[in-house]
Amino acid sequence: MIKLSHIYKTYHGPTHALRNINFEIEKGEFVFLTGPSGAGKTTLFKMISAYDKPTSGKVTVGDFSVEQLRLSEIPFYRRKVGVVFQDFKLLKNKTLFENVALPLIIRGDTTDFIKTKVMDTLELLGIQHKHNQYPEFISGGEQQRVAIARAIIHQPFILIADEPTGNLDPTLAQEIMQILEQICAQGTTVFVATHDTFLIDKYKKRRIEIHKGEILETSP
Amino acid sequence: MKRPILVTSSFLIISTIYTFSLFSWVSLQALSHLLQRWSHESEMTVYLRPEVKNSEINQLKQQLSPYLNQIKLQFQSPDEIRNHIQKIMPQSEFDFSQNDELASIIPPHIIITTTTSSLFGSSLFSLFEDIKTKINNLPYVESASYGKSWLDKYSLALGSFKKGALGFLAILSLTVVLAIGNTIRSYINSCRDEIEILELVGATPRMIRKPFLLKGALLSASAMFFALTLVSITIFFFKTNVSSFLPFLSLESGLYQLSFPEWISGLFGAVLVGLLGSYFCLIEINTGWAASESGQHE
Repeated sequence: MIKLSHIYKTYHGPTHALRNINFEIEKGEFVFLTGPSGAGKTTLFKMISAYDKPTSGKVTVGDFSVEQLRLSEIPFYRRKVGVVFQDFKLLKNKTLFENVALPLIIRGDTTDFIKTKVMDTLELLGIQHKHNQYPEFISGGEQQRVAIARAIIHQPFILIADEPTGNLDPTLAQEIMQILEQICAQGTTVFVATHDTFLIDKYKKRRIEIHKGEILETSP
Repeated sequence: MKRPILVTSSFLIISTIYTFSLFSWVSLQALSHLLQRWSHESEMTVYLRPEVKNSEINQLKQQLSPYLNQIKLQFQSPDEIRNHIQKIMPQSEFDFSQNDELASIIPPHIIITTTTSSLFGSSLFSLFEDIKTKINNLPYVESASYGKSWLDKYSLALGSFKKGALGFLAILSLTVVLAIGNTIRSYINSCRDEIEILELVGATPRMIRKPFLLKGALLSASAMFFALTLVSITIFFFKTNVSSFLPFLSLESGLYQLSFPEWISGLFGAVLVGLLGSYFCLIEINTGWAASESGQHE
């Protein structure tokens, strides 16, 4: 599903953000990407979600050679990838319903389909009763649920979550992890960046550890 | 700057520029109308020698025949002149039959006036000048003059003013384009998060740019609508209240309300300027490989 071969990323300076990254993730797998801040986790995620190009190497996601995507193809590729961030990235002036509906509106789905699909997804995440509220009036855990709902509503084949529990207390963090597990159980590949050792130890999933732009170890 | 303040200040700047441009346009139309009216009152007089023969008058008319679709000729013989004077001044003591010198005080002449309303100002005067050059050397022509040379100067000044106004209008349009561009650029900067989210969920560049293009067009069109309304109200005020104080300017007929096609053209032009202004900023929205170009990384 996701295959990174000999990935190097060098910025002006020169700063080596990533060095010879190689790994493969199978369809429906749940993988943690760990490492300290500045290790290159976000850079790696940006490459998988077509926000950044490697200086050299090959990024393959499904049938897509991501680094070879033309500018016109990038939006359509991103519609097949779900991304969740630590800071939720919700539109403050839109209701939860409108935030979650965004990928479907952009895809051009019908109003009736959008209504049904959004309410089903919100129900799955247990926040359907708050669909008319605005993000700033709900808790951090609920905001992250909305962000996850928006990331999975269009049924992406991979879900990338960059520190999804970084802003949440341990209880809420575990709730979010359970939701991500459920999504993975339904067949979506889930790739989660975190440096929360408690969660990594508790969920016992495959782990890719990155440090100063290089892979230290992969387990199991 | 907060969005409402930014949009309001830009709206005021742009509508002021549009209002100024519209007032210039209306003023130019009024001045042209004035010139047209005054020009139509001008005429050319060709004075002939007293002993001019009918055959020579016909020859002169023949010379002027190429201009007959634009001008009208009116010959005044000495007898007609005398009759006319006696008619308008019946109590006068002039006895033309007893006084040869008095009888010849006004020589026979031809009055040339224009018949077409499209001929006025410098074009009319250049026609008169053509005619003058053509007939001035004929032996039976004493002199040809069309007077009102100040009108010619007024016409030239108006022509220069029109050219200057066009140049100034081009500069003002550029100012509006820049003002709209600046507003939309600030708007884009304040919407970076929204743009990022839209990119995240797979919006195409067209989807992201369209609202900003529409905002530019709407800002420009609403400023133009405000300016058009203000100018129309002012014209109405001038026509109803000021024209009686300044009758010589004939504001009643010279100052006219903006027509429906002018309103539509104004709004359409404003939409184009708005689209142009916002288009130049939209190329700043990077909807492709963003991070590698900005050099950001964790």
